[in-house]
Amino acid sequence: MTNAPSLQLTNLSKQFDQVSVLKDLSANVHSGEVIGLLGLNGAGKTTLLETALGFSLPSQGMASVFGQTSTSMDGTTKARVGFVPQRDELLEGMKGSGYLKLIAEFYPRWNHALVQRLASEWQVPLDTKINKLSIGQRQKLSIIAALGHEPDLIVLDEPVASLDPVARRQFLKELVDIASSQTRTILLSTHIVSDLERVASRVWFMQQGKLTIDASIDELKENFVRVQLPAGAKLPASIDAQSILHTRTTATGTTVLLKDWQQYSAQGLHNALPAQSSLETLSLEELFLELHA
Amino acid sequence: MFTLNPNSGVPIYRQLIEQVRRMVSSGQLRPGAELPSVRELALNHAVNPMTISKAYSLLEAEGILERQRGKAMTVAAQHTNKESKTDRLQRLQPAIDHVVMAARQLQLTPEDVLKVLRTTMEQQDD
Repeated sequence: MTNAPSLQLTNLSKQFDQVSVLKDLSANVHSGEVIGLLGLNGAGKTTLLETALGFSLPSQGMASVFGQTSTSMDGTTKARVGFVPQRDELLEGMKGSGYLKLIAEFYPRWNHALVQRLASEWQVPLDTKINKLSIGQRQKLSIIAALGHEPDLIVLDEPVASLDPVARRQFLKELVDIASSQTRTILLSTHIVSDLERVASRVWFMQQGKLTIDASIDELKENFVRVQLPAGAKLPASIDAQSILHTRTTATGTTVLLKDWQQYSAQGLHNALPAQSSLETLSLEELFLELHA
Repeated sequence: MFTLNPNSGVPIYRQLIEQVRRMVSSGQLRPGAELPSVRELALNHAVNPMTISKAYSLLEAEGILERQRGKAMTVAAQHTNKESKTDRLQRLQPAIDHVVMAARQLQLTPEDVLKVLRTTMEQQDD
């Protein structure tokens, strides 16, 4: 099944001790996409990534990778997946070089040149024992170990939390390089929204176990706007109540978060806003804050 | 060559389209001029390559850029002549709308604003 989605979630749900962590998630991820997963702590991001890859069983629904049920992937399909867990699973007593050699043996294909280049560019001392590495160095090693077999689907759970800005940028460029192939797929969760804004083609917002937004970054930026109205002024009546996400009123005026703006803008609505009002587009970070306000 | 701000509310592909249009209409980018490859631009700015190719494709559809098989994207030939003044002014309109809004909030008159606009433009011409 060469044309199967890289990842497919169908009504995926997961409960732990009767607590619902994933609630009826459905989505398809196709090759070439870079999906950014955003959500507050505890929203269910890690559970989603782990269940998607079959590390734990869904309670209802299913997840599949390249057309195979995640929990029963064959060796060939497994070899097409790379995963960077939130907490690294490196082997403490080994040196970086030994660890990478060990991982390489699991895969029929291993790009030694790539691994060497990344280790040198990212300044990971491979001759040092893993338990002597800094958290950032461990994170880098963990990423390199997941990229060495050049997987077609790369899943990363907060891969950059401990990286300095220079290392983060190097990592992002590596992702851009991978995305340039247009055949490989990346799914990553992070709290560094500004990084996602650069590299993601599509964003998933998770709120309390639900996938509340699944849209391209361009769609998000073109459709969500913040309107500031002077005190006493109202939005034009042609704006549907369903498009108003929330309203905050203070003594000096009202702030409204609107969606579907492209459609209203096409109707010329920006000219119908009350005098003295202003319209702002939102960065992904601002949108994230607004949606969780 | 370009200034892309991924953290702005304006999508990256729109920023790129706007900058290429301006550079072409002002003659800064001449017909036949080569644009950086999608991969090169994406890597330089550490942004998703699809957003760059989306901008290039839309500019190609507009006739501003043209793509030759296996070669770099270039500025299309029919853009030899500068755009008409009306068209160029049209491009300035969003920036003007922004200034007008800020001026209203600051309770400045058109005369106040025009004066500063004139001084600033003359200073930058020197």
